[in-house]
Amino acid sequence: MKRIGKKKSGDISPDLTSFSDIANLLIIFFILTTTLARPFGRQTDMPSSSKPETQEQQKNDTPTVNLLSDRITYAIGEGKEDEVTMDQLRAILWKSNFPQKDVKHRTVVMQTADDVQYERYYQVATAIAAAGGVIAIITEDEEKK
Amino acid sequence: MAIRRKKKPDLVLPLSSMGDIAFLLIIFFMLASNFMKTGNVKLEKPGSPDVEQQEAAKISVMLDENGDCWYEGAIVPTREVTDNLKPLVEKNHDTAVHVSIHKTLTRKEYMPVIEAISEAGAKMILTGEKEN
Repeated sequence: MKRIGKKKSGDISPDLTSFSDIANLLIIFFILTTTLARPFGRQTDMPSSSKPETQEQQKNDTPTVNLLSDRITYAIGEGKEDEVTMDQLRAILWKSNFPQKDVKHRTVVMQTADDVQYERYYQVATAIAAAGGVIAIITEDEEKK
Repeated sequence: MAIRRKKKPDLVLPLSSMGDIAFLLIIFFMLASNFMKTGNVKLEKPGSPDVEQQEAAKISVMLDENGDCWYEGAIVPTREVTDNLKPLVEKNHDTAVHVSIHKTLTRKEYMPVIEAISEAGAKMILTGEKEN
């Protein structure tokens, strides 16, 4: 009987050069199209627009920040408006101790003049949010009333 | 007189490990990166000391220096921002939107965008630069 011999295995060595080329192209693609940086920012809480009565009730003790192109004024309810600097506003907001208060009493009304640039609005909005306040914006419809 | 040339040694670089390293790098980038959908938007972010580092943006709304509104990398009319966001907020109430606005735009340009996002009920993260 003829002996069945083992087949001699051939020397298999696939060419991997192109494989690494493709991998390198993919790396270049990912490096160019991705960003690993996490952005800086501040989450701003806005009150629900479906509760106008509650806001009306609070009107007397709600702080109001009036943002004009050249100055900032601060008032509580219908009280006297005081001109404040950005640092003074921050100090007042931190003194208000919003995180200890009920959600309904955290509202800060922000009135903004038409010519106010976003950078100014951003600084005030982030200061209110950092102090734990909820920003209420007066929309154009409300202003007309 | 015949000069005998030295036989050059047969150089064979083992490239299989190169491919392995390359694929490990690809896996790293795929897991750790998020695509820049708005890399071509021209805008200067405002600065504030009251900001902190946030998670990477899942949904982004941008207002560039010309006042064009970009939603997820495409220019859209401002009123469409609310329509696009509402179904996402209905699915997930914690949907956070990263809002980036050019620092010199005025109220009439940026307020409609802020109102549109607020109307959709999404959480708004105003992004900017950290100032000391």
